Amino acid sequence: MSNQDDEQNRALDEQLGMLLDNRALPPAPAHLTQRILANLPPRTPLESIAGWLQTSPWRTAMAATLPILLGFSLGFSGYVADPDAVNLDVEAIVFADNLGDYLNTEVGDEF
Amino acid sequence: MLAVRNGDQEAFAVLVRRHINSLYKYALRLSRCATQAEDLVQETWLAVWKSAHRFSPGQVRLTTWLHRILHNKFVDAHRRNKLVNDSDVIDAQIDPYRPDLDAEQQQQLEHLQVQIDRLPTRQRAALLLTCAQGLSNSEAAQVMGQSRRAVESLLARARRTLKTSMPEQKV
Repeated sequence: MSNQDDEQNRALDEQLGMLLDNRALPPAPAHLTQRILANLPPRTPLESIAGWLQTSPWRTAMAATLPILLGFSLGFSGYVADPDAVNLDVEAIVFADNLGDYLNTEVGDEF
Repeated sequence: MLAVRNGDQEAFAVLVRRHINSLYKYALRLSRCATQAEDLVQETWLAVWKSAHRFSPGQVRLTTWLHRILHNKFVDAHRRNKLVNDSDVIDAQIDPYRPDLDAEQQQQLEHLQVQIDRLPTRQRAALLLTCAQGLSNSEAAQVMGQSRRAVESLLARARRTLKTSMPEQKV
């Protein structure tokens, strides 16, 4: 890079520094802040819920777990003894008895 | 910001007062019109209020996120031709008048301002974000939705254009 390039770069940096100095610009007018705050729309319930949920990870985790817990509680609260359960016991005894008979049968006896 | 997510208007007001000047100045330089800058800033804060839950503190700085929203609003408005074109009137608020400079330096600054205004929008935005708003190249890339290398390339091109258009320096 030549000396002329260096000088041009330095001059450009200097001028950009002066020109793009934000302190030289006026601040935002006071009425703008008022206008922004006065025109905020109310949050919809969905936006509020989304905002609340995403504030921290435990809230998201809790929201994900809640349906499972609800399912468990509903499932257990509606539990009634199955009237067919007795019959199942009887069927199990009959099955075991038959199985015993079958095992005691010698090969060829079944015909 | 957490409070803003929960709909806390007081917290939002604090946030607005803290960042509005920086955003307004960027909007003013981009749009080169006070009225349009005010509209852009208002739209930006409205978007912040509505989508505060989308801000992820670990991934991006709040300043960068705010600039990004404003930048996107500007690009949208520019596409819809809502904003002034390069040939239109430039607001007097960004007139580079500096009473501390002599006439020649003043003239040089005015010339440079005209050249900056003539730069393509993306080059101008990259230059403003890094030189005026004080963002790093990476942050400017996040604001503009570009890669860091793309922003560096835009900056290099902008500087080259400005340099070639500079009048001969008396050094």
